[in-house]
Amino acid sequence: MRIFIKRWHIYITLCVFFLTVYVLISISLFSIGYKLKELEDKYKELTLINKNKQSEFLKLLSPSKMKEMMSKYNMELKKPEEWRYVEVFKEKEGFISGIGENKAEASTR
Amino acid sequence: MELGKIKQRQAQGEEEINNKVKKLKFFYSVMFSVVFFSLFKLQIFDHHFYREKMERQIFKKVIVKAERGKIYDRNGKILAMDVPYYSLYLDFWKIRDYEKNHPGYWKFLRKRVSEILNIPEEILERKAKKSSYPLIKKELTIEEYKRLKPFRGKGVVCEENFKRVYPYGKLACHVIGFSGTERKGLEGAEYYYDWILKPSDGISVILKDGMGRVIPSLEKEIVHPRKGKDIFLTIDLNIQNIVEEEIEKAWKELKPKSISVIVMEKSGEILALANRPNYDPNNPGDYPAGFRRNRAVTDIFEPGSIFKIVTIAAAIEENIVSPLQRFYCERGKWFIRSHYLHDTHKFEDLTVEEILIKSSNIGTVKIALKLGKELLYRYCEEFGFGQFTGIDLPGEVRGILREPEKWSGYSIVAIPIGQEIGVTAIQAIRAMGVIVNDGYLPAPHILKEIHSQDGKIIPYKNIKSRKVISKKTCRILSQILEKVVSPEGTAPLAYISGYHVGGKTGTAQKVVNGRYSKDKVVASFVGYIYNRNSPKIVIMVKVDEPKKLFYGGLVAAPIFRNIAWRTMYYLEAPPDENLERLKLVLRGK
Repeated sequence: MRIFIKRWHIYITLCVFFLTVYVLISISLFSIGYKLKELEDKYKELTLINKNKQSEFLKLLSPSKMKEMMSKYNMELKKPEEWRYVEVFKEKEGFISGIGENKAEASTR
Repeated sequence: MELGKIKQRQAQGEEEINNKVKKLKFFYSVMFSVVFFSLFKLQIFDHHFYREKMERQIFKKVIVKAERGKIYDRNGKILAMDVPYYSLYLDFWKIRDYEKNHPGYWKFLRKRVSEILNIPEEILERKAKKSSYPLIKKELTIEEYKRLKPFRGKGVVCEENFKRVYPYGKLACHVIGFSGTERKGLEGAEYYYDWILKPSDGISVILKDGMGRVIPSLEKEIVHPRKGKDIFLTIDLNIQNIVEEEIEKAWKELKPKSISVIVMEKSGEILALANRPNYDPNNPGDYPAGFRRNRAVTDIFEPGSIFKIVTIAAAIEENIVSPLQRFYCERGKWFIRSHYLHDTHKFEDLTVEEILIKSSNIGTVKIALKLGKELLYRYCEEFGFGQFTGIDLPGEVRGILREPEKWSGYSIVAIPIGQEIGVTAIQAIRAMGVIVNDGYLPAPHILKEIHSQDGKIIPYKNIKSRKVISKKTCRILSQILEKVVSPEGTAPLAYISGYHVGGKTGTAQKVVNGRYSKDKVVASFVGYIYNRNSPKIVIMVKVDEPKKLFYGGLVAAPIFRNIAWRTMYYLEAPPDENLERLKLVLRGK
């Protein structure tokens, strides 16, 4: 007890020192936290821009948009070479016919 | 004497003081004990109660929204994705606080917000009067968000949310479906696989400083937000686009009530599925409910002649008829079971093969009569009619197939030629799939695999399919169906040289006011295409009430042909010259 009383100033100095260290660390932690939050916000903002641009880009790549742009700029989409399917026309039956005339196939009733 | 008295008094005084000090000590000891006990009670016994109370006062629970899973096509192209956006709110509790130190702040803020968002100041004023936390704008543009940034924390709140974007618009809309404002799938794969795509939102506890800013170091995550799993569909966007282009062309030319087209790989993987009318999943509310219906799985129709495949397949499989066996076709008109049955041509003797090639009703019914209703019904069931195909899309119907006990006397005449039976396009394509799948019933599906966030890939578990007919019967039927698309068949317009192409046309009259209509039909074609360089592809085309042309061979077969050759072109499977030569040799030319 006596020793404790004799060295009280040392203990108080130590306490003050550790308290100061604690406060300083807390402050730096808080400031790092704020910086992190700022960066997180920046990251979110960039993600927002990125995703929006990505969706816009994909929309521009969609066939309907491509066609729209082609017609806008008076361009033509190159069609693949038509391979070889055979168009069969029977003169007598005339496939391009209306209802009920020149039947090409049995109806089910 | 005097000194003695003084000392005595002093001693008495000291004793009194000592007594008072003792009393004071006791008093303070008691007081401190009380304080100490109270503190002890507060810190030890009531700790949780007060901590909770404190946390409730200074901490705030916030929901951290997570992204819904993406939908990809089979090649990894994004079909549906979540895009974040910010909504602007004005916090009038904060604005009023700020106004105390900075008079005229609201006026200044109102002017700036009005300039940035191009909203009249009067509207902002009106909104401010209605609520203390009004929504000003739902989806801020990036530019608007950046310009509003300096005011954040000073009464301007930008809340983050997600919207579902379908970059390809109407393309494959009936397969992908759409999700609602509550971020819940409402149609298509979005609905069916909602449980996979659904994210799990997180919960965080935040502490705000005097400026209203979050103190990040004291932020606590109670529940971690989990992004939904991504799904890869079997759909190939390029084939889907081919289908959409061809269907659009037919939609404009034929002006039908509806069109459905399905392209399926022989195992059951759906490569493309499209319907007209369609809708844009980005704005589904702009279209009538009927446009959003996936007619390929929800609408039933009388299949007509395409059903003859089932009748002939059953008869060949049961060895009741052989492909070259002849049947007299009554010169196109036959009175059977109190009804006249017609063919469009006055056929006399036709082989079984020719009956299918020329689509003779009389010939088919004669084969069915030999087969009997029990066997016919059994094969209808075996081919999957009257049952769900199990496709992973919502709203599928099982069609109509009555049990033989409920058949009328005329049913054995009607059912073999595709009447008195209701099927869906997906059932029809599955039945054709049996022939190219060596007699096994395919399981149509749209899910290819699931990708979880930890990189785990879960592939689609294919259901073991049942055998319907033998490989030999499949070969015989394939040979016949390939002749259907030859010049002597009903669908020469479906022919593509250099490939194995086969199929069957259907022109089913629709029932209007209890009678078969003469001008309202469902024209259909179900066929397949392959060669040694390509996978076996099955295609179903169904055109409901075409206005210009009438027959399946004229209406649906050309659509099939265009889709088929373009698909082969895309799959880099060029026509096989040798195959064409072989076909000519087989025909004796």
